[in-house]
This record gives sequence, C-alpha cells and structure tokens, in this order.
Amino acid sequence: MTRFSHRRLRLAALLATASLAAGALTACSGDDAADTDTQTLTILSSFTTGNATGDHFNKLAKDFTAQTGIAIDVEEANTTDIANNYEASKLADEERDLVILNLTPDTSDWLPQGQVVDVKKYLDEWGLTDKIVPEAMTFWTQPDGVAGFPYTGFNWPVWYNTDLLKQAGVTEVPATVDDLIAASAKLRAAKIPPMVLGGAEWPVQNFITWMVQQFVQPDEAKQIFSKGGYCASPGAVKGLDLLGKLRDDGVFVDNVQGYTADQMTSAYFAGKAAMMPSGSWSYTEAPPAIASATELAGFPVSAGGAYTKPTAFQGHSNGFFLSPNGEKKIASVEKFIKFMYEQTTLQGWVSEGSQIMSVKNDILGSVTSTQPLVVKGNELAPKVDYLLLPDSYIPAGTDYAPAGSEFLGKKGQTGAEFCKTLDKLYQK
Amino acid sequence: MAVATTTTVDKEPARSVVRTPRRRKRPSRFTPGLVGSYALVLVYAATLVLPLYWLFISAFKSQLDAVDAPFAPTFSSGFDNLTRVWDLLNLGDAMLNSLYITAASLAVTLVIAIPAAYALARSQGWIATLFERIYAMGFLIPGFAALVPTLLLAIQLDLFHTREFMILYLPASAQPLAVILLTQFMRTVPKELEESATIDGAGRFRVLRSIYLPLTMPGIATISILNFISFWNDYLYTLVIVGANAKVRTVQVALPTLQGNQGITDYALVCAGTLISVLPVFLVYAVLNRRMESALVQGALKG
Amino acid sequence: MTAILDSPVVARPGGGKNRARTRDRGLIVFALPSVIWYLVFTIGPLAAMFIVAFMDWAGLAAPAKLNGTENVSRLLDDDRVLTALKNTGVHLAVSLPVIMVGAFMLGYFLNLKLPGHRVLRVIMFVPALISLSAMGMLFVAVLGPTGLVNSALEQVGLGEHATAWLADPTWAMPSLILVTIWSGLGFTGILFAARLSAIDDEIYAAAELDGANHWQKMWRVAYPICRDYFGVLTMLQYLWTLFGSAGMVLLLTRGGPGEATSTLAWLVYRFGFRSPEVGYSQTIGLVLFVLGIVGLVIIRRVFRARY
Repeated sequence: MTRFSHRRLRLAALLATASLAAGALTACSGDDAADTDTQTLTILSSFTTGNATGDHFNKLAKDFTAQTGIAIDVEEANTTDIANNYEASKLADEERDLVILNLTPDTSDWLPQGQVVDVKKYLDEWGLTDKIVPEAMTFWTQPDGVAGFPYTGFNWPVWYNTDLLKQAGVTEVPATVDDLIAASAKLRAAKIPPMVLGGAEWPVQNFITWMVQQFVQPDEAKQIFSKGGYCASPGAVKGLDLLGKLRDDGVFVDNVQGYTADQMTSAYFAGKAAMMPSGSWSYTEAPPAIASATELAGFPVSAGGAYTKPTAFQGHSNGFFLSPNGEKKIASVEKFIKFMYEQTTLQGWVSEGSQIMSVKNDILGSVTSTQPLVVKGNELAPKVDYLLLPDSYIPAGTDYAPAGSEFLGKKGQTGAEFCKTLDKLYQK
Repeated sequence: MAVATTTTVDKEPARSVVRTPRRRKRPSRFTPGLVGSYALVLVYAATLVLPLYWLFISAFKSQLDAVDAPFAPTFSSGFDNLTRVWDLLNLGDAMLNSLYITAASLAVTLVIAIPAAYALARSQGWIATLFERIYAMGFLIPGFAALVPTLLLAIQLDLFHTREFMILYLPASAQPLAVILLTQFMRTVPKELEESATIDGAGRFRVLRSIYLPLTMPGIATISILNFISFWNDYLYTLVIVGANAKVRTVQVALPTLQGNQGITDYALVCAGTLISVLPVFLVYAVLNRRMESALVQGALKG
Repeated sequence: MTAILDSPVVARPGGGKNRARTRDRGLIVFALPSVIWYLVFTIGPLAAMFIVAFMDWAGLAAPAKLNGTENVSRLLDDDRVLTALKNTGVHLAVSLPVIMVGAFMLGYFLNLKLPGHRVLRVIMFVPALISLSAMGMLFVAVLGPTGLVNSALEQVGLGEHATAWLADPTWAMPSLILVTIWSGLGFTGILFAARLSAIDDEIYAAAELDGANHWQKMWRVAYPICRDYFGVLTMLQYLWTLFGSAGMVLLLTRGGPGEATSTLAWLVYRFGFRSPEVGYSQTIGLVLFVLGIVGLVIIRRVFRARY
C-alpha cells in the first residue's frame, strides 16, 4: 500500500507540473492585471468580428486608443449567451466596464437589479440627452433611470423583389391586402414562390404581432403582448384571421412553417421568393442584383384596419450598458462615450457600418450610406406607419414560434382557435 | 506462473495467437445474412458520412451557397473561409487553450478513474455499492442545472475566469461515466491472473499497471476518446466560467461569435471554423482507434 | 429473449469470489480520490437542485426566496408538463430499444473484423465528433422545407409528399426519434465493440462446432457474457436520451410545432434558460430525477446488472 501511494503521489506531482508548464506556455496568464489599470477599458460586445458592426467597432477602438492612449480590451460573445456571460462575471465582481447589447426582456432587469448603473446623470452631464432621438430615450428609460446609452437602431419593412413581381405581371408594390393576395396568385401562376417568412423561428413571432396590430391600437397591443388576452380582443382575433387568410390564399411559399430565419433570408437573396419581411440588419448582406431590384415598403393596408398607411417596425434597441466596475473608471468611460457620439464617429457608422443611429439628424449631419438598401430604408418614414415594437413587452422566454409554426402549417385553422394557443403561452 | 508472464503486456505473441483462428474461419465467413447486414451497415455508414461531406464542402463555398445549395460541391470560395476564420477568431490561440484544458483534464480524469474502477471491480462490500450509487446520482443532474452552483464554487475558490478551474471541474464531472464503464472492463480480467501475480510478490499498483492496464486498453481508449470529445466540445461552462476573453477563450467559445443575431450568419464561415475545430478530435480518434480493439491476451491464457 | 436471458452459455469470468473477498477489502481506498474529487464538485449542484426546486427564483442575478410547495402544485396543474411527459415516453419507448438492440448487433458486426471494419469504426463515431450546433445546422439542411429529403422526393416524382419535416405535427416527433437513433446507434455500437473484443474467440469457435450461426452466437454466446455491460449501456443510453433530448429539441424544433416535440428535459431547459424561472425549471428537473431513478431500478432488475 505505502509503496503504491508513494508512486501515485509522484505521478500526480509530475502531472501537475506538466499541466502548469503547459498552461504557462499556451498563453499569458489571465487578464486580471488589466482590471486595476485605469488606462484600459474592458468591453463585452455583441458586435462580433466577422459582422459589419464588429469589424467597424474594432477599427474605432483602435482610433480611440491612438487618440487618447486608453487601451480597449474587447471580449465578444454570441447574442444568445452574452447575458449569461455578463451576469456570471457580475456575480464575481469581475464584470466588464461596458456592455454593447440590445435592451431586451433578457436585459431589462439589469438596471432594477443593480447589475448596471443608471446613466441618466451622465447623459445629461455629457450633453448627450439632447443629441439622442426622443423615441430612443423613451425606449431606454425605465422607472429606475436610464438603462444605458442608446446608440443604434433598425427599421423592419417588407422587401419586394420588383424584378420577380414584373415577371409575374405585377407592376406595382401591393398597397392593400387584396393587392397582395392577387399578386401572390399571379406569382404562383408564374411559378415564383411569393412571400417567404422564417416560420419556424423568431420572424414568425414578429409577423404575428404585425398582423395583430392591423386591427389593434398601440395601447391595447401593449396589454396583449405583455399579459396575453388574444381571445378577449376582437381586433387581435381579426388580425390572426388575417394571418390565416394569407396562409390559405397561398401568399406564403410552400412549407413556410419550416423555414428558419437564415433560410428565409437566403431564399430571398437567391431570388427564390418575391417578398420577405425583414430588417435593416440584412441590408448590407443582400447581393447587389437583389438589392437594386428590391423595393422597401410597409405591409399592405387592410380594409377597416387600425392604420391607413402600410405598416413597418422601427426600434432603437442597441446601446452601451455601464457596469459598476465601469463607473469606477468614469473618466475613461466619459472619453470613450463622448468619442462614440462625435459627429465623425457617428457618420462613420452610417457610411461604413451602414447603421441607423439613434441620434437626431442635425447631430448626424448630412451623410449617406453607400448601400442602396440603407438609403431606401431611411426614406421609408413618410410612406409608412410605424407599429408598436413588441420586443419590450413580450415577457422573456415567451416564444411564439412553435405555436406560429403550427398555425402556418394548419390550413383552415381560424384566429379564434389560434388565440387560445397564444394565450396558453402566457399561463403561469 | 508461466501464464502471468505471457500476459504482461507482451503483445506481439498475443496478436499472432489471435490471427490463427481468424484465418481458419475465413472460408465460411460470408453467409447471406452477413452480406445483408453488411449492406445495412453500409447504408447507415453512408448517412453518417453525409455530415462530414456537408461540413467539408460547406467550408469551401460562399455564404449564400451554404444555405441555398447545402449539398452541392460548389467550391465557390476556395480556401478563403478557412484562412479568414483562422485570422478573424485568432483560432491558433483558441486551439491551444482548448488543447490545454482538454489534455490536462483528460490526464487527471484517467489518473483518478483507473484506480477507482479497479477498486470497484474487485470490491464487494457495502462501501463499493454506496460508491456506485453516488456515481449513478451524477447522471441525474441536468448539466445546466449544475451551472450556477459550479459558478459559485469557482468564485469561492478564486478561480473564476481561469482555465485551471475547468481542469479541476471537468475530471470531476467525467468520473461517473469513466468509472462505471471502466469497472465493466476491469471485471473482464480473469482473477487468476491477478492471483498468480500476487503470489509472485507484485504489489497492488504493479498488478494494476502490468495486468489491468494492458488488458483493459480498449476500455481506457474508449473512455479517453469519449472524454476528449466532451471536454473539447464543452461550451456553456467554459463560456460562463472561463469567459470570452481572447487570451483564454477556447475554440468552442470563439466559434459561436460568428453567429450574428438576426438571420445573417455566414454559415460557410461557421463550417470552416467547425472543420478546423474537429480536426484534433479526429486525430486523437485515429490514434486511439486501434487501441479500442483488444489485444486479446485472455486467448493466450485460456488456450 | 427471456429464454436466452435465463440460459447463460458461459459463466461470467472471475469465479472464486469467496477466497478473494478478504483480500480485496482494503482495495476500496483506491476509489477514494475519484469519489472525493467527484463529490467536491457535485454535492453543491445536487443539494442546490433540491433547494432551488422549492424556490421562486428568476435567474442568476435575481433574488431568490423559498415558496414552499407552490412550484409543485403549479406543476401538477400544468398540462404542458403532462404533454411533455407523454412525448418523453414516446421518444424513449421507440428510440431506446432500437438503439440498444441495433447497437449491440452493430458492435458484434464490427468485431467480426470484416474487410473495412477500421474505416467503419471511424465513421460510426461521426455523430459524437460533431458538435451539437453543427449537427443542428446539418439537420435543418436535410429536413428543412428546401432540404435534402424534399429535393430527393421531388427528383423521384414524389414532390407532393414533400413537407417541412421538423415543423409538421405528424412528422416532427418521428424526425426527432430518427435523429436520436441515428446519432446514438453508431456511438453505442462502438462501445459494444470495445467490450465484445474481450470475448475469447475460442468460445465462438466452440459454438460454431455446435453449428451456431451468427444470430445464435450473438444472442446465445456474446449477449450472456456481456449482459452486465448491456445493462450499463442501457442505463447510460436511457439517461442520455432522457436528459439529452433538451439539446436536440433546442436545435431541431424548440418543442414545436405547437408542443409536438416538447420533452421534459426541454421544459427544464426552457424554463431555466429561456424564461427566467429557474425555480420552476428545477421542479420539473425533479420529475426527471425521479424518472431517472425509476428507470435505473427497472433496468437494473431486468439485466441484473451491477454498475
């Protein structure tokens, strides 16, 4: 026995040494040193390398360091997991100074829970409050203060491939739901799949709220999205019936209930669908031929509906959260945030990053993107009515997609039946 | 006595012993039933090769082709994806981090699991039963349910945001599977071998090393590859505990940053990254594959 | 099957237990490092699991408080849990027997060392080699509306049968089961092959002299020898399927369409990670825990396995 444990011990010691040596070789140890250095700002970012936003941000970070001597240490994470990542590091008091992320149901608890700091004071002191568009300020303001610095936004219309529409003999972008159904019939006759939708994933959730709002005013919609009650609302049922009608009249491509978000975009980009509801994040990804053939407009008007113009969404959900650790280095943070709101930086985001900034037009100055779709997207405003964005009202974890996918696959099911399924999602 | 000496890892003679009966059997090998089974296995194998084919060709095509024509070998972007993803994500460092965590964890796993399996295979008492029950419990905790307590432990130990915590944690999480499977393999070793060796004056550790280790090589190799894969592929724990800092992040933490939020993921790039990330696993598997077949020393013993 | 079970042709190796018993008593200390190491990292999660199940706790950052049996009564009223229980039952009842019997036969086959068996062994491991997220991408490409299956159907003129396999209420669960079998068969087959390779060729040779064919050698010779191991792998496969379905459901269907593929493990994940109801998620986790134990006891009885 003794002999054995002796040998074992030696083996364990050997192994431990080997591991430590390997660890020392592979990389410089941890990054803890960086936290004490006030000349370094640490950022957890959902702008990831390889995407337009991430690449542009990395460039800006270098410029900022060159200007101020303050180093920036960026950590990237996938949007799905970034909140977990931050909350875990906050628990260890090792959270990053700033977080670039959307204000969503997942992150809207951060300010009330003290995970992040109220930035109202800083927005005012640094003269930013007046630069930011009021809608963005409203979106980011919570009872406990302002959750972060609002930075970029998006719009979300319907894309129409005019080349394909013309091939089917449709010369005008559909203005009413009847036009849409007629256009779809012509497209089908010409063997062109009409409207594609990510029926198995989040696009269907958004599209359901889109249809519901055809017959429901914003105040009621707020109620329904946050608490449920589809069946109790005649307007909502009417909206769901509209979705059922589009499905039964063949507006969607075949088997639309199985499309993922990526398949939706690819189908449209490959010219295999003539219409698609999708947002500004895809503008720069469209192949040039598709982009030039695409016209952006709202979803067609319903007779007797809540809106007189075609409808679309817009939002201002992305920005910078400030952490308690970040507040300790507030001088560096101030320089960084001010840098991000300088006119040249803002203009760079538009011209090179093709983003929609949450700042007023006079602050932004005259700058246009080189991307045709970004330009078209910015011209939407007078032609459409913007709907209430459901994202901040639907509770975290309430996922319409499985139910929506089922509905899109069930020909003949009515809104009066579907509303029950949706209300069930809200049951405690 | 003589038996014990032949069995101590002397593989060459052992192999030749196996070969003789195999050659003898050959003429009667292919019965119709066997041919049918072979065909079925080949069909199944074909469905397994499909993902490899898909992964491989996707890594060499454009973003649009990857989703629009997933099974067509278009080779529309050559080696661009591979070099781009390597540079973008700094995959070299990430691979080293993964390798460090995986290799060290695997070593620790084996060092503590092998003696434990030996002990459980040869013990009968209530303590052995209790230990087996304790291990079985480990399978009943959903992995993500244990995340928060584990995170708290890492913070307590002052090992948050370090790779070293994973090297402590992963072997612990691997113990139930490793010990339970290895115990099964250890039980196949005939007791007579151990007894004759003990009479020879060999200590416990020598018995383990020179009788059990070689005879249970298929088991150890199996455990090694299983754990290598699960350590290498670990995502959630590594992300939350080690974090996403480029200096310490692993391949599995680096790759998902490619997946944008809103339906604009470049899947070709993701596939290129995935292809690079599975290469080490393949290498390890290729090395261990032969070891997963027994040298069949028992044949020598009984024959 | 039972007849075979009751007539083992070959006794388990390692007779003479009585003589060895006294000698082996102290050996258990060899297991201590492993057990202690394991407990240090598991006791916390295990305890936490039982406490959290009786808590109203939203998530990592939120305050937590005990709420007695509130979660349990909510669970009993929740028909989503009932649906998930049924789905879990169907998922297990079909995939487990197919995987176990198929994998055992596959393991036996690989062990015949026919030409090409080395290549086949490598191929069989593929599902384990490829990470779950890559697998998710792949299956969307195969079973999606414009995927491989549908284009194949169109090519052979069966285009009207094309459907969105993962989003079709009739086909979603069969698809999930098929993917489970597909990914488990080869892997478990390899595990069997490793164990079967320890069986002495002479034993098969003796059976051959009696005129046994492969089928008989497989079930009358090999199976009784490895029954313990078969039991252990059945247990593992049971638990992997029971708990692991969460990952597969997440990547393929997220429980849909409707609740067609919502399994218990998926619900644990959904409430724990999607909606911030970690407490309730763990209450459902307890149901899994109980199912796990019940399954283990049954499997242990059936195979009289020691693990």
